[in-house]
Amino acid sequence: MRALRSRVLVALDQSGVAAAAVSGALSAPRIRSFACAPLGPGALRPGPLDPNLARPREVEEALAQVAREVEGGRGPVSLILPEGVARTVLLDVPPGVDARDFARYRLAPGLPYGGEEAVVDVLALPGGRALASAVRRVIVEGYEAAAEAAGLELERLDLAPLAALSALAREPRGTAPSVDVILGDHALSLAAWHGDLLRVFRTRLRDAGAGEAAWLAREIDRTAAQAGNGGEPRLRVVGPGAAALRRAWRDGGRDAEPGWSADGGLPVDAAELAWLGGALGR
Amino acid sequence: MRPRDFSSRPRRRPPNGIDLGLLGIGLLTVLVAGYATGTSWADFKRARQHVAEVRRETEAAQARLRALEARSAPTAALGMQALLSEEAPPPRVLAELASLMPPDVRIESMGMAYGESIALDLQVSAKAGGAYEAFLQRLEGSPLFTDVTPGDETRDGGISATVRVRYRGSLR
Repeated sequence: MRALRSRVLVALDQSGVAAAAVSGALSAPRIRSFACAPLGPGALRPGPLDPNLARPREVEEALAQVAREVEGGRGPVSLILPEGVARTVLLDVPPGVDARDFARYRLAPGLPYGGEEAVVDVLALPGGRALASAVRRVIVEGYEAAAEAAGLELERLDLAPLAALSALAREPRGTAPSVDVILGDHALSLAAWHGDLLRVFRTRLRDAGAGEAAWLAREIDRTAAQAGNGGEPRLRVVGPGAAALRRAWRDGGRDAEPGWSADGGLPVDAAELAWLGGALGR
Repeated sequence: MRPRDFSSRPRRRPPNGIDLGLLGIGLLTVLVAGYATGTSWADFKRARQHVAEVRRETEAAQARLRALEARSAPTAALGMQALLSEEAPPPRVLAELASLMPPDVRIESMGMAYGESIALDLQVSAKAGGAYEAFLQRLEGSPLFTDVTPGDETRDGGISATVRVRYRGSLR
Protein backbone atom coordinates (compact mmCIF):
# COMPACT_ATOMS: atom_id res chain seq x y z
CA MET A 1 0.00 0.00 0.00
CA ARG A 2 1.31 3.41 -0.85
CA ALA A 3 0.78 6.41 1.42
CA LEU A 4 -2.86 7.42 1.20
CA ARG A 5 -2.30 11.14 1.12
CA SER A 6 -3.53 12.94 -1.95
CA ARG A 7 -0.87 13.57 -4.59
CA VAL A 8 -1.26 16.48 -6.95
CA LEU A 9 0.23 16.29 -10.42
CA VAL A 10 0.39 19.14 -12.91
CA ALA A 11 1.35 18.17 -16.45
CA LEU A 12 2.22 20.27 -19.46
CA ASP A 13 2.19 19.33 -23.11
CA GLN A 14 1.86 21.01 -26.46
CA SER A 15 -1.93 21.09 -26.40
CA GLY A 16 -2.52 22.20 -22.83
CA VAL A 17 -1.99 21.95 -19.12
CA ALA A 18 -3.79 19.47 -16.87
CA ALA A 19 -3.79 18.66 -13.18
CA ALA A 20 -5.18 15.89 -11.02
CA ALA A 21 -5.36 15.16 -7.32
CA VAL A 22 -5.07 11.41 -6.83
CA SER A 23 -5.59 9.45 -3.64
CA GLY A 24 -6.03 5.85 -2.62
CA ALA A 25 -3.89 2.77 -2.92
CA LEU A 26 -1.98 1.89 -6.07
CA SER A 27 -4.33 -0.97 -6.81
CA ALA A 28 -7.34 1.35 -6.68
CA PRO A 29 -6.33 4.94 -7.35
CA ARG A 30 -9.06 7.52 -7.11
CA ILE A 31 -9.10 10.80 -8.98
CA ARG A 32 -10.34 13.30 -6.41
CA SER A 33 -10.15 16.30 -8.65
CA PHE A 34 -9.17 17.12 -12.24
CA ALA A 35 -8.68 20.33 -14.22
CA CYS A 36 -7.30 21.22 -17.61
CA ALA A 37 -6.66 24.33 -19.65
CA PRO A 38 -5.84 24.39 -23.37
CA LEU A 39 -2.87 26.19 -24.87
CA GLY A 40 -2.92 27.95 -28.19
CA PRO A 41 -0.89 26.43 -31.03
CA GLY A 42 2.81 27.19 -30.62
CA ALA A 43 2.62 28.45 -27.03
CA LEU A 44 4.61 25.39 -25.89
CA ARG A 45 6.89 23.41 -28.19
CA PRO A 46 8.41 20.35 -26.47
CA GLY A 47 12.02 19.87 -27.54
CA PRO A 48 15.40 18.86 -26.09
CA LEU A 49 17.54 21.88 -27.02
CA ASP A 50 15.87 25.28 -26.76
CA PRO A 51 13.52 26.72 -24.14
CA ASN A 52 10.11 25.21 -24.78
CA LEU A 53 7.84 28.06 -23.73
CA ALA A 54 7.41 30.29 -26.75
CA ARG A 55 4.69 32.28 -24.98
CA PRO A 56 5.42 31.94 -21.25
CA ARG A 57 2.57 34.23 -20.15
CA GLU A 58 0.02 31.99 -21.80
CA VAL A 59 1.49 28.91 -20.17
CA GLU A 60 1.58 30.66 -16.78
CA GLU A 61 -2.08 31.57 -17.07
CA ALA A 62 -3.01 28.00 -17.95
CA LEU A 63 -0.99 26.72 -14.98
CA ALA A 64 -2.63 29.26 -12.66
CA GLN A 65 -6.06 28.23 -13.92
CA VAL A 66 -5.58 24.50 -13.23
CA ALA A 67 -3.95 25.28 -9.88
CA ARG A 68 -7.07 27.23 -8.89
CA GLU A 69 -9.45 24.54 -10.07
CA VAL A 70 -7.82 21.35 -8.84
CA GLU A 71 -7.94 20.37 -5.19
CA GLY A 72 -4.59 21.17 -3.56
CA GLY A 73 -3.35 22.77 -6.76
CA ARG A 74 -1.24 25.42 -5.06
CA GLY A 75 1.14 22.77 -3.85
CA PRO A 76 3.17 20.95 -3.12
CA VAL A 77 2.76 19.53 -6.61
CA SER A 78 4.72 17.30 -8.96
CA LEU A 79 5.27 19.04 -12.26
CA ILE A 80 5.36 16.63 -15.20
CA LEU A 81 7.27 17.70 -18.29
CA PRO A 82 6.11 16.38 -21.66
CA GLU A 83 7.43 13.74 -24.04
CA GLY A 84 10.23 14.98 -26.25
CA VAL A 85 12.22 17.16 -23.84
CA ALA A 86 14.75 14.56 -22.73
CA ARG A 87 17.37 12.27 -24.14
CA THR A 88 16.67 8.86 -22.64
CA VAL A 89 18.78 5.69 -22.70
CA LEU A 90 18.46 2.23 -21.20
CA LEU A 91 21.44 1.29 -19.03
CA ASP A 92 22.75 -1.80 -17.28
CA VAL A 93 23.93 -0.36 -14.00
CA PRO A 94 26.94 -2.20 -12.51
CA PRO A 95 26.31 -3.56 -9.02
CA GLY A 96 27.31 -1.20 -6.22
CA VAL A 97 27.30 1.87 -8.48
CA ASP A 98 24.96 4.80 -7.93
CA ALA A 99 22.56 4.70 -10.89
CA ARG A 100 22.27 8.47 -11.14
CA ASP A 101 26.04 8.98 -11.21
CA PHE A 102 26.44 6.18 -13.74
CA ALA A 103 23.71 7.71 -15.91
CA ARG A 104 25.42 11.09 -15.87
CA TYR A 105 28.71 9.41 -16.82
CA ARG A 106 27.12 7.51 -19.72
CA LEU A 107 24.82 10.27 -21.00
CA ALA A 108 27.13 13.28 -20.90
CA PRO A 109 29.37 12.39 -23.90
CA GLY A 110 26.39 11.92 -26.23
CA LEU A 111 24.53 15.13 -25.44
CA PRO A 112 24.45 17.98 -27.98
CA TYR A 113 25.22 20.37 -25.10
CA GLY A 114 27.70 20.35 -22.22
CA GLY A 115 27.27 17.67 -19.62
CA GLU A 116 27.19 20.30 -16.88
CA GLU A 117 24.04 21.71 -18.48
CA ALA A 118 22.17 18.42 -18.05
CA VAL A 119 19.77 17.54 -15.26
CA VAL A 120 19.93 13.75 -15.00
CA ASP A 121 17.83 11.21 -13.13
CA VAL A 122 16.81 7.59 -13.53
CA LEU A 123 13.94 5.16 -13.31
CA ALA A 124 15.24 1.99 -11.66
CA LEU A 125 13.99 -1.16 -13.40
CA PRO A 126 14.09 -4.89 -12.64
CA GLY A 127 17.22 -6.82 -13.56
CA GLY A 128 19.68 -4.10 -12.52
CA ARG A 129 18.64 -1.88 -15.38
CA ALA A 130 17.72 1.80 -15.33
CA LEU A 131 16.14 4.19 -17.74
CA ALA A 132 18.22 7.36 -17.60
CA SER A 133 17.07 10.74 -18.88
CA ALA A 134 18.90 14.01 -19.33
CA VAL A 135 17.08 17.31 -19.72
CA ARG A 136 18.87 20.53 -20.57
CA ARG A 137 18.88 22.80 -17.54
CA VAL A 138 17.65 25.86 -19.43
CA ILE A 139 14.55 23.92 -20.46
CA VAL A 140 13.84 22.80 -16.88
CA GLU A 141 14.31 26.34 -15.63
CA GLY A 142 11.78 27.63 -18.17
CA TYR A 143 9.11 25.26 -16.87
CA GLU A 144 10.01 25.98 -13.24
CA ALA A 145 9.82 29.73 -13.81
CA ALA A 146 6.38 29.47 -15.40
CA ALA A 147 5.06 27.25 -12.58
CA GLU A 148 6.41 29.53 -9.88
CA ALA A 149 5.05 32.59 -11.62
CA ALA A 150 1.68 30.84 -11.63
CA GLY A 151 1.92 30.43 -7.84
CA LEU A 152 2.61 26.70 -7.72
CA GLU A 153 4.74 25.24 -4.97
CA LEU A 154 6.84 22.61 -6.69
CA GLU A 155 7.71 19.43 -4.85
CA ARG A 156 9.57 17.79 -7.72
CA LEU A 157 9.78 17.58 -11.50
CA ASP A 158 9.28 14.40 -13.47
CA LEU A 159 9.10 13.40 -17.12
CA ALA A 160 5.89 12.03 -18.60
CA PRO A 161 7.47 8.91 -20.17
CA LEU A 162 9.31 7.95 -16.96
CA ALA A 163 6.22 8.66 -14.86
CA ALA A 164 4.14 6.45 -17.14
CA LEU A 165 6.69 3.65 -17.34
CA SER A 166 7.13 3.66 -13.56
CA ALA A 167 3.47 2.70 -13.26
CA LEU A 168 3.46 0.28 -16.21
CA ALA A 169 6.57 -1.49 -14.90
CA ARG A 170 4.79 -2.39 -11.68
CA GLU A 171 2.52 -4.94 -13.30
CA PRO A 172 3.96 -8.47 -13.33
CA ARG A 173 4.30 -9.63 -16.96
CA GLY A 174 5.27 -13.26 -16.59
CA THR A 175 7.45 -14.41 -19.48
CA ALA A 176 5.38 -12.94 -22.31
CA PRO A 177 6.91 -10.29 -24.61
CA SER A 178 5.13 -6.95 -24.46
CA VAL A 179 5.41 -3.42 -25.78
CA ASP A 180 4.24 -0.30 -23.92
CA VAL A 181 3.39 2.77 -26.00
CA ILE A 182 3.57 6.08 -24.15
CA LEU A 183 2.09 8.91 -26.16
CA GLY A 184 2.65 12.63 -25.87
CA ASP A 185 1.27 15.45 -27.98
CA HIS A 186 4.56 15.91 -29.81
CA ALA A 187 6.51 12.66 -29.29
CA LEU A 188 6.06 9.11 -28.09
CA SER A 189 8.08 6.37 -26.43
CA LEU A 190 8.13 2.63 -27.07
CA ALA A 191 9.25 0.20 -24.38
CA ALA A 192 9.74 -3.44 -25.36
CA TRP A 193 9.80 -5.96 -22.54
CA HIS A 194 10.68 -9.62 -22.37
CA GLY A 195 9.08 -10.82 -19.21
CA ASP A 196 9.99 -8.31 -16.52
CA LEU A 197 13.15 -7.20 -18.34
CA LEU A 198 13.02 -4.02 -20.39
CA ARG A 199 14.98 -4.79 -23.56
CA VAL A 200 14.54 -1.70 -25.77
CA PHE A 201 13.40 1.86 -25.22
CA ARG A 202 12.89 4.20 -28.18
CA THR A 203 11.57 7.72 -28.59
CA ARG A 204 9.97 8.95 -31.82
CA LEU A 205 8.36 12.18 -32.94
CA ARG A 206 4.68 11.67 -33.33
CA ASP A 207 3.16 11.43 -36.81
CA ALA A 208 -0.43 12.33 -35.97
CA GLY A 209 -2.79 11.88 -38.84
CA ALA A 210 -4.87 9.33 -40.64
CA GLY A 211 -1.99 6.94 -41.10
CA GLU A 212 -0.65 7.12 -37.55
CA ALA A 213 -2.15 3.81 -36.39
CA ALA A 214 -0.52 1.88 -39.23
CA TRP A 215 2.81 3.72 -38.90
CA LEU A 216 2.87 3.18 -35.16
CA ALA A 217 1.99 -0.51 -35.56
CA ARG A 218 5.08 -0.91 -37.76
CA GLU A 219 7.20 0.96 -35.21
CA ILE A 220 5.88 -1.34 -32.50
CA ASP A 221 6.78 -4.45 -34.51
CA ARG A 222 10.21 -3.01 -35.31
CA THR A 223 10.81 -2.30 -31.62
CA ALA A 224 9.65 -5.77 -30.63
CA ALA A 225 11.96 -7.30 -33.23
CA GLN A 226 14.88 -5.22 -31.90
CA ALA A 227 14.10 -6.61 -28.47
CA GLY A 228 14.26 -10.14 -29.84
CA ASN A 229 10.62 -10.81 -29.22
CA GLY A 230 9.14 -13.31 -31.64
CA GLY A 231 5.46 -13.11 -32.54
CA GLU A 232 2.98 -10.39 -31.76
CA PRO A 233 3.65 -8.83 -28.35
CA ARG A 234 1.10 -7.85 -25.79
CA LEU A 235 0.38 -4.15 -26.32
CA ARG A 236 -0.51 -1.45 -23.81
CA VAL A 237 -1.06 2.21 -24.63
CA VAL A 238 -1.29 5.39 -22.56
CA GLY A 239 -1.36 9.05 -23.51
CA PRO A 240 -3.39 11.40 -25.67
CA GLY A 241 -5.03 9.52 -28.52
CA ALA A 242 -4.61 6.11 -26.90
CA ALA A 243 -8.29 5.23 -27.16
CA ALA A 244 -8.46 6.15 -30.88
CA LEU A 245 -5.35 4.12 -31.64
CA ARG A 246 -6.72 1.11 -29.78
CA ARG A 247 -9.93 1.32 -31.80
CA ALA A 248 -7.98 1.60 -35.05
CA TRP A 249 -5.78 -1.38 -34.19
CA ARG A 250 -8.80 -3.40 -33.08
CA ASP A 251 -10.43 -2.69 -36.43
CA GLY A 252 -7.24 -3.99 -38.03
CA GLY A 253 -7.39 -7.16 -35.94
CA ARG A 254 -4.84 -6.19 -33.32
CA ASP A 255 -5.63 -5.98 -29.61
CA ALA A 256 -4.21 -3.32 -27.32
CA GLU A 257 -5.00 -2.62 -23.68
CA PRO A 258 -5.20 0.67 -21.83
CA GLY A 259 -2.20 1.10 -19.53
CA TRP A 260 -4.41 1.72 -16.51
CA SER A 261 -7.76 2.82 -15.24
CA ALA A 262 -8.84 4.90 -12.28
CA ASP A 263 -11.95 5.60 -10.26
CA GLY A 264 -13.33 9.08 -9.86
CA GLY A 265 -14.62 11.86 -11.97
CA LEU A 266 -12.44 12.16 -15.05
CA PRO A 267 -13.82 13.76 -18.18
CA VAL A 268 -11.51 11.51 -20.23
CA ASP A 269 -10.33 7.92 -20.11
CA ALA A 270 -7.55 7.67 -17.46
CA ALA A 271 -5.32 5.94 -20.01
CA GLU A 272 -5.40 9.14 -22.10
CA LEU A 273 -3.27 10.78 -19.40
CA ALA A 274 0.22 9.29 -19.62
CA TRP A 275 1.46 11.58 -16.85
CA LEU A 276 -1.07 10.05 -14.43
CA GLY A 277 1.52 7.30 -13.99
CA GLY A 278 3.35 9.78 -11.78
CA ALA A 279 0.70 9.15 -9.14
CA LEU A 280 0.53 5.43 -9.73
CA GLY A 281 4.17 4.41 -10.08
CA ARG A 282 7.42 4.96 -8.22
CA MET B 1 14.14 5.25 -2.17
CA ARG B 2 14.77 8.83 -3.27
CA PRO B 3 11.97 10.04 -5.52
CA ARG B 4 12.98 10.89 -9.06
CA ASP B 5 13.40 14.63 -9.51
CA PHE B 6 14.51 16.66 -12.52
CA SER B 7 14.45 19.98 -10.70
CA SER B 8 17.23 22.37 -11.62
CA ARG B 9 17.97 22.95 -7.93
CA PRO B 10 17.46 20.91 -4.75
CA ARG B 11 14.01 21.21 -3.26
CA ARG B 12 12.75 20.64 0.25
CA ARG B 13 10.52 17.62 0.02
CA PRO B 14 7.59 17.10 2.37
CA PRO B 15 8.04 14.41 5.01
CA ASN B 16 6.97 10.95 3.93
CA GLY B 17 5.88 8.03 6.06
CA ILE B 18 9.43 6.92 6.79
CA ASP B 19 10.40 10.46 7.83
CA LEU B 20 7.41 10.70 10.16
CA GLY B 21 8.18 7.25 11.56
CA LEU B 22 11.79 8.23 12.25
CA LEU B 23 10.61 11.48 13.83
CA GLY B 24 8.29 9.49 16.09
CA ILE B 25 11.12 7.14 17.05
CA GLY B 26 13.33 10.15 17.76
CA LEU B 27 10.73 11.77 20.01
CA LEU B 28 10.16 8.48 21.82
CA THR B 29 13.91 8.14 22.30
CA VAL B 30 14.09 11.65 23.77
CA LEU B 31 11.25 10.83 26.17
CA VAL B 32 12.85 7.54 27.25
CA ALA B 33 16.23 9.26 27.62
CA GLY B 34 14.62 12.01 29.72
CA TYR B 35 12.93 9.46 31.96
CA ALA B 36 16.19 7.48 32.25
CA THR B 37 18.10 10.66 33.11
CA GLY B 38 15.60 11.55 35.83
CA THR B 39 15.77 8.04 37.28
CA SER B 40 19.58 8.05 37.11
CA TRP B 41 19.73 11.42 38.89
CA ALA B 42 17.59 10.09 41.71
CA ASP B 43 19.80 6.98 41.89
CA PHE B 44 22.88 9.21 41.98
CA LYS B 45 21.48 11.26 44.84
CA ARG B 46 20.63 8.11 46.76
CA ALA B 47 24.12 6.70 46.14
CA ARG B 48 25.75 9.95 47.27
CA GLN B 49 23.68 9.92 50.45
CA HIS B 50 24.70 6.32 51.08
CA VAL B 51 28.40 7.19 50.58
CA ALA B 52 28.09 10.02 53.09
CA GLU B 53 26.49 7.68 55.63
CA VAL B 54 29.21 5.07 55.11
CA ARG B 55 31.87 7.76 55.50
CA ARG B 56 30.33 8.96 58.76
CA GLU B 57 30.14 5.40 60.06
CA THR B 58 33.79 4.80 59.07
CA GLU B 59 34.95 7.93 60.85
CA ALA B 60 33.01 6.96 63.96
CA ALA B 61 34.53 3.47 63.84
CA GLN B 62 38.03 4.91 63.44
CA ALA B 63 37.45 7.20 66.41
CA ARG B 64 36.31 4.25 68.51
CA LEU B 65 39.36 2.28 67.40
CA ARG B 66 41.71 5.10 68.34
CA ALA B 67 40.10 5.31 71.78
CA LEU B 68 40.46 1.58 72.29
CA GLU B 69 44.09 1.65 71.18
CA ALA B 70 44.83 4.49 73.61
CA ARG B 71 43.27 2.55 76.40
CA SER B 72 45.19 -0.63 75.58
CA ALA B 73 48.68 0.98 75.21
CA PRO B 74 49.83 0.71 78.92
CA THR B 75 48.68 -2.88 78.99
CA ALA B 76 50.67 -3.62 75.84
CA ALA B 77 53.77 -1.92 77.26
CA LEU B 78 53.55 -3.94 80.43
CA GLY B 79 53.16 -7.11 78.41
CA MET B 80 56.22 -6.29 76.32
CA GLN B 81 58.28 -5.50 79.43
CA ALA B 82 57.38 -8.84 80.96
CA LEU B 83 58.20 -10.62 77.75
CA LEU B 84 61.63 -8.94 77.51
CA SER B 85 62.42 -9.79 81.11
CA GLU B 86 61.71 -13.40 80.26
CA GLU B 87 63.49 -13.50 76.90
CA ALA B 88 66.47 -11.25 77.68
CA PRO B 89 67.64 -11.52 81.27
CA PRO B 90 70.69 -9.40 82.24
CA PRO B 91 73.19 -12.29 82.10
CA ARG B 92 72.23 -13.04 78.55
CA VAL B 93 72.43 -9.43 77.48
CA LEU B 94 75.77 -9.10 79.18
CA ALA B 95 77.07 -12.26 77.51
CA GLU B 96 76.03 -11.08 74.05
CA LEU B 97 77.62 -7.73 74.76
CA ALA B 98 80.85 -9.35 75.93
CA SER B 99 81.07 -11.37 72.74
CA LEU B 100 81.40 -8.12 70.78
CA MET B 101 84.13 -6.63 72.92
CA PRO B 102 87.77 -6.55 71.76
CA PRO B 103 90.31 -7.82 74.38
CA ASP B 104 91.39 -4.31 75.34
CA VAL B 105 87.90 -3.09 76.13
CA ARG B 106 86.09 -3.66 79.35
CA ILE B 107 82.67 -2.76 80.75
CA GLU B 108 82.95 -0.91 84.02
CA SER B 109 79.22 -0.70 84.71
CA MET B 110 75.94 -1.30 82.94
CA GLY B 111 72.44 0.07 83.58
CA MET B 112 69.41 -1.70 82.05
CA ALA B 113 65.94 -0.23 81.66
CA TYR B 114 63.16 -2.63 80.51
CA GLY B 115 60.32 -1.06 78.50
CA GLU B 116 59.15 -1.73 74.97
CA SER B 117 62.84 -2.54 74.40
CA ILE B 118 65.91 -2.71 76.67
CA ALA B 119 67.95 0.48 77.00
CA LEU B 120 71.52 -0.03 78.10
CA ASP B 121 73.78 2.63 79.63
CA LEU B 122 77.34 1.39 79.49
CA GLN B 123 80.43 2.74 81.18
CA VAL B 124 83.31 1.46 79.05
CA SER B 125 87.05 1.66 79.40
CA ALA B 126 89.61 0.83 76.73
CA LYS B 127 93.37 0.80 76.63
CA ALA B 128 93.54 2.46 73.23
CA GLY B 129 91.30 4.55 71.00
CA GLY B 130 91.40 1.89 68.24
CA ALA B 131 89.97 -0.79 70.52
CA TYR B 132 87.12 1.53 71.59
CA GLU B 133 86.31 2.39 67.97
CA ALA B 134 86.34 -1.30 67.08
CA PHE B 135 83.86 -1.98 69.89
CA LEU B 136 81.54 0.75 68.64
CA GLN B 137 81.70 -0.64 65.08
CA ARG B 138 80.90 -4.15 66.30
CA LEU B 139 77.94 -2.82 68.27
CA GLU B 140 76.61 -0.96 65.25
CA GLY B 141 77.14 -3.98 63.03
CA SER B 142 75.42 -6.40 65.39
CA PRO B 143 71.81 -7.31 64.65
CA LEU B 144 71.18 -7.67 68.38
CA PHE B 145 71.78 -4.01 69.16
CA THR B 146 70.52 -0.75 67.69
CA ASP B 147 70.51 2.99 68.31
CA VAL B 148 74.18 3.07 69.34
CA THR B 149 74.89 6.54 70.79
CA PRO B 150 78.45 7.26 72.06
CA GLY B 151 78.44 9.66 75.02
CA ASP B 152 81.12 11.48 77.02
CA GLU B 153 84.58 10.12 76.77
CA THR B 154 87.84 10.85 78.56
CA ARG B 155 91.19 10.18 76.98
CA ASP B 156 94.19 10.08 79.36
CA GLY B 157 96.42 7.34 77.98
CA GLY B 158 93.36 5.07 77.91
CA ILE B 159 89.76 5.84 77.14
CA SER B 160 86.85 6.03 79.52
CA ALA B 161 83.50 6.59 77.83
CA THR B 162 79.75 6.16 78.16
CA VAL B 163 77.71 4.46 75.47
CA ARG B 164 73.95 4.28 75.20
CA VAL B 165 72.57 1.41 73.15
CA ARG B 166 69.25 -0.40 72.69
CA TYR B 167 69.06 -4.21 72.85
CA ARG B 168 66.75 -5.84 70.36
CA GLY B 169 67.70 -9.41 70.94
CA SER B 170 65.52 -12.04 69.29
CA LEU B 171 62.39 -9.80 69.46
CA ARG B 172 63.36 -7.67 66.51
